[in-house]
Amino acid sequence: MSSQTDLSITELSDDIRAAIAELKKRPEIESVGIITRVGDGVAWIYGLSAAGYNEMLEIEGVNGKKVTAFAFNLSEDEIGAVLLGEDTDVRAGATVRLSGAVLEVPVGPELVGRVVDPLGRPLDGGDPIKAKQNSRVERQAPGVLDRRSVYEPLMTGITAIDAMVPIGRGQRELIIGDRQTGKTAIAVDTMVNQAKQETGVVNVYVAIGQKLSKIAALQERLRREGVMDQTIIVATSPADPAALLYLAPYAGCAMGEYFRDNKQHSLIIYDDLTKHAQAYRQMSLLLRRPPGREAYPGDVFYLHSRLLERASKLNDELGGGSLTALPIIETQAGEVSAYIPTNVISITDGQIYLETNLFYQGIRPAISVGLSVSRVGGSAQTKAVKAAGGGLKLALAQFRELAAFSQFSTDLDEETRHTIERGQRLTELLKQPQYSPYSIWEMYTSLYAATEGAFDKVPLEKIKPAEQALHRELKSKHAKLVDALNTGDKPTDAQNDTIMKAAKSVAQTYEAEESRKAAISADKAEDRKSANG
Amino acid sequence: MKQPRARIAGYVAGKTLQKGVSPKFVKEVAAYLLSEHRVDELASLMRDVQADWAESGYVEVAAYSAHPLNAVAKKDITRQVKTLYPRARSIVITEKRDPGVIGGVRIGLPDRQFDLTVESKLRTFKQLAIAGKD
Ligand SMILES: Nc1ncnc2c1ncn2[C@@H]1O[C@H](COP(=O)(O)OP(=O)(O)OP(=O)(O)O)[C@@H](O)[C@H]1O
Ligand SMILES: [Mg+2]
Repeated sequence: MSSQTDLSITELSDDIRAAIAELKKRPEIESVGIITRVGDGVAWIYGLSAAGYNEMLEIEGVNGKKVTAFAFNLSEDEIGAVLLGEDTDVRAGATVRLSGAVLEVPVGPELVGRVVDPLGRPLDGGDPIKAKQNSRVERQAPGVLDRRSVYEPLMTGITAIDAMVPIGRGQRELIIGDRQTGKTAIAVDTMVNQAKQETGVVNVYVAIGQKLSKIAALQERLRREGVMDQTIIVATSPADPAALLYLAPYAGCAMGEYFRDNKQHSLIIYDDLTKHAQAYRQMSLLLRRPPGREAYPGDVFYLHSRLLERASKLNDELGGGSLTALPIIETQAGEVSAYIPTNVISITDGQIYLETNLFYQGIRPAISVGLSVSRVGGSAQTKAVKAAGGGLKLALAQFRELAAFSQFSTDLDEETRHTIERGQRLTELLKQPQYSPYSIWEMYTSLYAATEGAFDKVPLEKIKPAEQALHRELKSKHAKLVDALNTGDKPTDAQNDTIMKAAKSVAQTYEAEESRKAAISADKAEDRKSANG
Repeated sequence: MKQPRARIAGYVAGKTLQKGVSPKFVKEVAAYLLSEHRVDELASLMRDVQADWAESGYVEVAAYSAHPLNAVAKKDITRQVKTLYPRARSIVITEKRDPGVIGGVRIGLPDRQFDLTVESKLRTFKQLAIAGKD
């Protein structure tokens, strides 16, 4: 066997050392990897030891297709990457290259009015987006010193919210409730209101795993309402890879941050983070991260905290822009103590809690007065709405309590009956159809009239018509008052008198109609009696 | 997943004994060490390869001395190595200059070193002197 007699270990060693040095100079050796396994939207890559967390990778797919992925699991001898394209386009043995960049998306005014995927590619059939700027999908949230506390209102146009759980610009308010309780409707109405009140706030709506038909319908509706011109939709459907669903909120956030960082105001809606957490869980399990509570990986809290932390109100030196976030969480049977709901509740500055019961009783929006709070929005509330809404929450809370106790009782004392009747009327008044946000003056006059008792004698089913009549009356005869109220300043006594007078006279026509009807039916009964007799 | 070093050494030793060292093979080994992040292990790997060579009858000896060795010295070394590796069929002496070696020669073998220098002889003598009145 040993035919060689000129071997020298020193020479061999020196040769190998030289070869290593030579190879190291050529970058492709370190930055080319090979796919070893692929499936379920994840790929395992051998090599590419220099890859960073969240770094974009380019895979040479079948038929020369380029598939993007990002590095998610970095272990000593393997990388777990999440595919942003179809896994059927990727085969084991395919070459992978490092891009040297972390995930970025196009941002800027060019995106407004468009429907895009989480990578900023158009989904609306329109032209490719030629943004001048890109921004990282994962960005650090502004620090404490870069912020100032929330003080400007972000009006939703929904009386129940603006009066009782007001939201300020830069706030994070959670919308939480079971399926089909009107969660999306509240978020959409808030977007509509930004257009109706011409606030200039740019909306970013992030659809996470929603049916494309639903998204298309929403886009069409927003277009008809004239809201699309100040809205970006980031859309992902259930058919998309989990990685895209996972990325969607961060990408949308980067798009919203552009406006925040350029002295503007934006509103971002995450619909919904329950599906987002599920997509993350799916990815994590496929990449064999150890599962924890409810099979979510241990860092699922961080998943949402780092996202929601980016919503903020910047200080004046930084331009004073803001990004307000309305995350949505879907609960099961009203269970707010499940893992993901408790997490997000603890991260946000309050929640709007929607109840299935209320929804089916016809109380829509189905906002639970007792369980909904806004921890910072009070300082941002307009004075007018604050003045009228102050006692509202308490009155309604008392009413709900009494109503529950007194449903079977026949002889109620005068005061209890009064509280209940007032409460019923207020509840009626807070009902609001979709796509019809109220202006400040509308909210104020309704609430003021009702809490001052102007509508106490109006029958329940006539409350909404009476309210509308009051608004018509004021709009046509007291345009100046309407304008003054809309500034949001605290109304004067004289203004309040005018409102009360108008409300009382409107109310009378409905009361009158009611007594006339009663009289007519009584007459008819008399007639029948006499005919029979 | 991770290959034991002895296995890699066995492969390298076998390949080189059969076919010698080609630039292509050197590059292959280099690329493997790089991609496996095992460049640090090169020195140990080489020692293992050397041991494997010796095991198969090919003993490479490094001889460190201050001056070139003469034929007698070389023969002496070969004889000494033979006693250590009875199965050795070819013994190659690679000479290395080391001015630090005072008189004589120091021999580097795959798994041991032995010293035929004056210095070590002195050291042995000193130890014996201290140990007892021989
Ligand atoms: N204020 C409202 N008045 C009348 N109907 C409403 C109101 N809000 C929502 N709805 C209706 O209730 C239904 C459910 O609303 P929406 O889709 O907003 O609920 P969701 O909680 O987002 O549901 P999902 O769990 O499916 O996402 C829709 O048909 C919507 O039109
Ligand atoms: Mg919804």
